Amino acid sequence: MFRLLFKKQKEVENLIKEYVHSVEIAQDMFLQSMETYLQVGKCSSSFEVLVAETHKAESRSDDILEKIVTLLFEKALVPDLRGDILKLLETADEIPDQFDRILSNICNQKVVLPESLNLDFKELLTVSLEACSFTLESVRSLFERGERVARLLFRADQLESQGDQIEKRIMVRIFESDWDPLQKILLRDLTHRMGDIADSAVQACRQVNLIVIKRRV
Amino acid sequence: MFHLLGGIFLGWSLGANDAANLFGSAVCCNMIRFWKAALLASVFVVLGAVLQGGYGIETLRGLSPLDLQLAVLTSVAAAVTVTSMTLLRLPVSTSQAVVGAIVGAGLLQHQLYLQGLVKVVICWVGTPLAGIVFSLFVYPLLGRIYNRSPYNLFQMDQIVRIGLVIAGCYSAYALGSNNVANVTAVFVGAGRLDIFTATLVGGFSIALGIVTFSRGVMETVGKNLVALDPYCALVVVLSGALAVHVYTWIGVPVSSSQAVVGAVLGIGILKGTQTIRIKTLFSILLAWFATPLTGCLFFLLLYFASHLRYVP
Repeated sequence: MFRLLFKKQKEVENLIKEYVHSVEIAQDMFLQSMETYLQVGKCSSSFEVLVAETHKAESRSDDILEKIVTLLFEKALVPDLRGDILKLLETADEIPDQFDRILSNICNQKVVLPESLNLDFKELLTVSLEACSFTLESVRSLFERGERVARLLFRADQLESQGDQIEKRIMVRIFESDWDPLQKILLRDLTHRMGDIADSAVQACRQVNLIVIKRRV
Repeated sequence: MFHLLGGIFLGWSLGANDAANLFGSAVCCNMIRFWKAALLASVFVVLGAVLQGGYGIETLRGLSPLDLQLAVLTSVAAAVTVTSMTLLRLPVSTSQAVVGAIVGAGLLQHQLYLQGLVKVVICWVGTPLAGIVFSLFVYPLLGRIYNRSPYNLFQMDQIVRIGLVIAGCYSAYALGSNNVANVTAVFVGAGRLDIFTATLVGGFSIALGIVTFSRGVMETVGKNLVALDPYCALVVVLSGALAVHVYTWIGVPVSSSQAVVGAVLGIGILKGTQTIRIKTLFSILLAWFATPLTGCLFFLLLYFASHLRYVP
C-alpha cells in the first residue's frame, strides 16, 4: 500500500539518483580529461576524445534534469519542496556545466599550461572534485533519514577555502612570471573556472542543508 | 420550503466562504483536485451536521423564542449581513451575524435569554484562543512523530499531503457539526423543522456552497496557508478543526476562520515569528462587534420594512 502512496515520490527519487550518477560520470570524464591535459600541458587528440565524452555525459545529465523538472511540474511534490528541489538541481547543474565549459575553453583557446603550474593545477583539481563528491553525497543523503548533510557541508566548505588558497597561489605565480600577457589572461580565466567548481559545489551543498533545516520540526 | 430560502442562502454563502479553511491547503499542495476536495468536504459537512449538529441548534433556538416570520427575517438578515460585509471586504462571521439577528428579534420581543447569549459571546472570544492552544499542542506532538519517522524527505512530503486531506475531512466534519445551527436553528425554534431535518437541510445547503462557489476563496486562502510550509498548514487545519469541534460539544456555533487565524498565531508563538498581521487580529476584533451589530440592525430594518403598510 505504501508503495502505491509513494509512487510519484519514488519516481522523482529515482530520477534524482540517476542525475547524481550522471554528474559523477561527467566528473570522472572531466578528471580523466584534465589528467590527460596536465600530462602534456596542451590539447591532444586523446584529450579531445575525452572532452567529447565529458560533453556527452553533461548532455545526459541535462536530459535527466529536464525529465525531473517535467515530473515536478506535473505536481509530484508540494510546491514548497518542489521549489527547493528545483533550486537545488539548478545550482547542482552548474557543476557539469563548469566541467564542459573548462574543457571546451582549453580546446577552443588552445590554452598551454606551463610545467611550473602543473602541480598547483593538479592540487586545485583534486580539491575541487573532492568538494563535488561531498556535494553529490549530500544530495544522496536527502533520501536517508540521517543528519549527514551538515557534516558534508562542513567538509565541502573546508575544501572550497583550500581551493581559494590554491587559486590565489596560482594567480600570484601567473602574474609574477614573464609569460606572454595573452597566455596570462587565458591561464587566469582557467584558474578562476577551476576554482568555480568548488564554489558551485558548496552552493549546492548549502541548498541541500537548507532543504533539510527547513523541514526539521 | 419557500420560508427556508433565507437559511439555504445563508448556508450556501457559509459553504462558499469557509470551505477554504478545510481543503484550501490540500488543493494548493496539489494533493487533491478541487472537485474531489469539494465532494469530500460536502460529504463530511453533511455527516457532521447530521451526527452532531443538534447541539448548536439547541443553543441558538434557546436564545429567543421566534415565530416563523421572525425566523425568516432572522435568516435573511444574517444572509444579507454576510453578503454585504463580504462585498465590502469587511471581516465577517456567519455565526456572529446569525446571533446578532436573533438578538435583534429578542430585543424586539423583550425576550432574550441572556445567560445563553453570554455563553455564546465567551465562546467567540475563546475561538481564536482555542486555535492558539491546539496549535501549541499539536505542533510539537506531530513534530515528535514527524522527526522520529523512518521515512525520507520525499516520503514525508507525501505523508503530509495525505495528512492535509484527512485533516480537511475532519475539518469539514467539524464545520458541518458546528455551523449547521447558523443555517437552520431559527426554523427549529419557530417549530417549522425538527432537528434532524434542520441538520439535513443545513448540511446540504453548506455543501451546495462548497461545490458551486468555493473554488476562488479556496485557492486564495490555501496559498496563504501553504506559504507557511506544508507541515505548519497541516497543524493549522487540524488545530482549527479541533477548536471548532470542541465548541460543537459545548453547543455554540463559532467562526472556523477565526479558529484558523488563532492556529496560525499559535505557530507564530512557537516559532517566535510574526505569522499574523496586526491588521488581521484587528479585523477579528472588529468582526466581534461589527458583525452582530450589523446583523441586529439588518434584522430591525427588515422587520420594520415588512411591517410598512400602504396608506392611500
